[in-house]
Amino acid sequence: MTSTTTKAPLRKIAVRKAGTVRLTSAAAALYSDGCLPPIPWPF
Amino acid sequence: MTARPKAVLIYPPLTDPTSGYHSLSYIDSYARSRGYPAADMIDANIEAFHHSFSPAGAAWLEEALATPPAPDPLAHYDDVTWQMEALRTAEPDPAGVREAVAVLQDPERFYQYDHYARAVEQVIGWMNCLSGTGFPGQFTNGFQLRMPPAVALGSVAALRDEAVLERLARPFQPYVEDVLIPQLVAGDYDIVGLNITYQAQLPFALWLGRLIRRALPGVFLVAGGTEASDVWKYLRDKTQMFALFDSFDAVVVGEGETAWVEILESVRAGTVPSSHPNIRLHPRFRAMNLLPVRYEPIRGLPTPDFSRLPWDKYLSPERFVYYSPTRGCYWNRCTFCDYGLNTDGPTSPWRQDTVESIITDVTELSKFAKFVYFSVDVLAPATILRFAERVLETGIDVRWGAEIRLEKYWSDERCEILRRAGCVAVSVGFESGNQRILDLIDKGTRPDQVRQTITSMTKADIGVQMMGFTGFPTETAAEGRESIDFLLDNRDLWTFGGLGQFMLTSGAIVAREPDRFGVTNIRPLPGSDIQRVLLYDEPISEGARAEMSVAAARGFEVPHARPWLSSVDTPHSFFYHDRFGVRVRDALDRDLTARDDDQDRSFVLNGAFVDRPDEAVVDRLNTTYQIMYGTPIPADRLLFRRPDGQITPLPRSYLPILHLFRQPTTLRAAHARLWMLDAAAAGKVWQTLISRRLVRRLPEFPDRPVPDETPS
Repeated sequence: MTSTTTKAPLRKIAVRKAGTVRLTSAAAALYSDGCLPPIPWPF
Repeated sequence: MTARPKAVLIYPPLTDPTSGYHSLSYIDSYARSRGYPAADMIDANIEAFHHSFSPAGAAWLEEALATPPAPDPLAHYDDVTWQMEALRTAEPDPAGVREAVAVLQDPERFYQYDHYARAVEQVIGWMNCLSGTGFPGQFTNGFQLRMPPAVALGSVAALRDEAVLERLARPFQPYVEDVLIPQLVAGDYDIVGLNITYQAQLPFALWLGRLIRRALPGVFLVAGGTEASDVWKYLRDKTQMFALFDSFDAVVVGEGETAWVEILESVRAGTVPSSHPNIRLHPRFRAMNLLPVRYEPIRGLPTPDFSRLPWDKYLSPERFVYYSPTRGCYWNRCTFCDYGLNTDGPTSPWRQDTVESIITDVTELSKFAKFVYFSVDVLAPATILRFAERVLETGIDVRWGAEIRLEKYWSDERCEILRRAGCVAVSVGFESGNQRILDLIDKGTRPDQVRQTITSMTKADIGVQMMGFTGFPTETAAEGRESIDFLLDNRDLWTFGGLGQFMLTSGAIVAREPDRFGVTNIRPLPGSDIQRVLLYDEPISEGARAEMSVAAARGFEVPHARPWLSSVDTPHSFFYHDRFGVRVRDALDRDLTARDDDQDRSFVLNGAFVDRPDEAVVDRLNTTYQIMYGTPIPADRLLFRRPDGQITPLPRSYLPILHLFRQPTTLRAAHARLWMLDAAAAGKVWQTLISRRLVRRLPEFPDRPVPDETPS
């Protein structure tokens, strides 16, 4: 399984200008716990 | 004047779309060698697939999907199941699947895993759409059939129920009604033969049989193949055979060469083929046959002629043919085995052709196809080695693979000879990493010796595809873990493979001598008339089963499993082994990794966010998710669907990031908008998106506009 585990800086990011992206500390989840595996289909 | 009898041989769905199977070419070539005219051949599986995205097929699909589903004739599927089906299915994209077919047939793009994976996702996505016109979830991973339980169990009542068959076959209805049946009527045939090799073909064959009988009431209609034989082998009440095959005049059980010739001769003479032991006739002929099947002498069989199959249609860039110079297994002792066209042993009796005949055949076959797969239960080591030496002596240019036993015979030097002679990969049953279980199986191998053999194969650049299973009777969880550990500890010595779970079948030695294995209370699955799998009591392996199934499933996720279109040892895995050798996984990983040269490469969203379904649906999804991963799908996750219907629960923080890729965007440009991330963190983000194929690289010169898949 691929993993993206790393500790990324927990920065509070405000929207500075049009075209930039709002990220919050929740973004840490993206690269701290990685994403969960795909859903197996229980048909 | 047409030569008589005029015959047509058909492969029904659902089977491998990447190559033609060899069974019909074998019996047709044999009949031609005996002076009969060549049969026409129709691969209805691949033809139906192509028809489904033709303008007519695509229009039908769009209309069918827009119509609420008719009531389920089995009253099995509830609304939650239909909502799951809707969740995995995107809008049909006929242009996308056409593009996918072009990639899979392209000798360059096929080997670029980015292109390959995209094509596979599109084909699977298209099959998901077709699935929505039948039973929910019936097509999984593209060309695998998930049958309604009653059908999978082998209930004669379900398999005789026309509403069930029609519903299951509905995705192929336009092809069959508009193309196949008119083609058969126009063909003026005396005989129609259906080959049923896989269980997934059985319901389609039974349905086709009914339509053919109505359209051609006077034709001699016959079925045969491994699955037809299995139905006979496992049917509890043999008198039910023609309750199932009621549209057919005959079913060939076991090998088919001489039986096919007898059918041709009888039809030509206007008689009934009643003397061949492998031909079961419909009771209306009043010639019930319970004779033991006959095994063919394979020496002297003609070289199979594969030219009558539709090679331009298969989803492959190369021709890949199956060749069977041996039948049965020389070992024939494994206590779990109940394989192929056997009767009273684990496999059918061992027969093998001479090396010189094999060389003659392969010389011919190599002029037609670059790849030859030895489609056998097993090849004897000395025969393979001698074959390889003769290939080198005669200079035949061929690539080949086979299923072999892991004998200590395979030294470094001998493996090197195989490789030089064109062997690119072998498939092996290592079965277990625990010596006590191997002994109980009577496998005749030792884990240390297996490690040595696969080391020699790998050193020679021959890919080893490993197959094993857990849950053999009396296997403890600790013993099962040894199999998982064996695979993981030796990860560099095999390319693809995985672990299944033991299933007891009636022909296995375990079922015949249950006391030896601590097995009691062997009984059929409730509702099964075709008893393929048996239930039994054995507390030790039963106690370990849940842990083993989760551990094996989690240990062998992609990229350990086989990432190919289709499921078994596919032609595609051999093509990739041929191109990349034992480093084949690196070729895949390279495109599943964020690379230095990606900074100025455009990426685009590979799928779309989908609305979170009703809690009842989430609860159903959680039934497996919880078992597999020990956690339910968190309530705050967004669901992202790839084109193949795979759904990944993502943290909400993915939304703005993935939004960046709604339009083609380079990683450098995306990072500029995510300026708050340092390079290392951004690298991790790209790695997640690329490795899970949530975004995909755009070709250098995209040949079609990228659809706007704006998330909701």
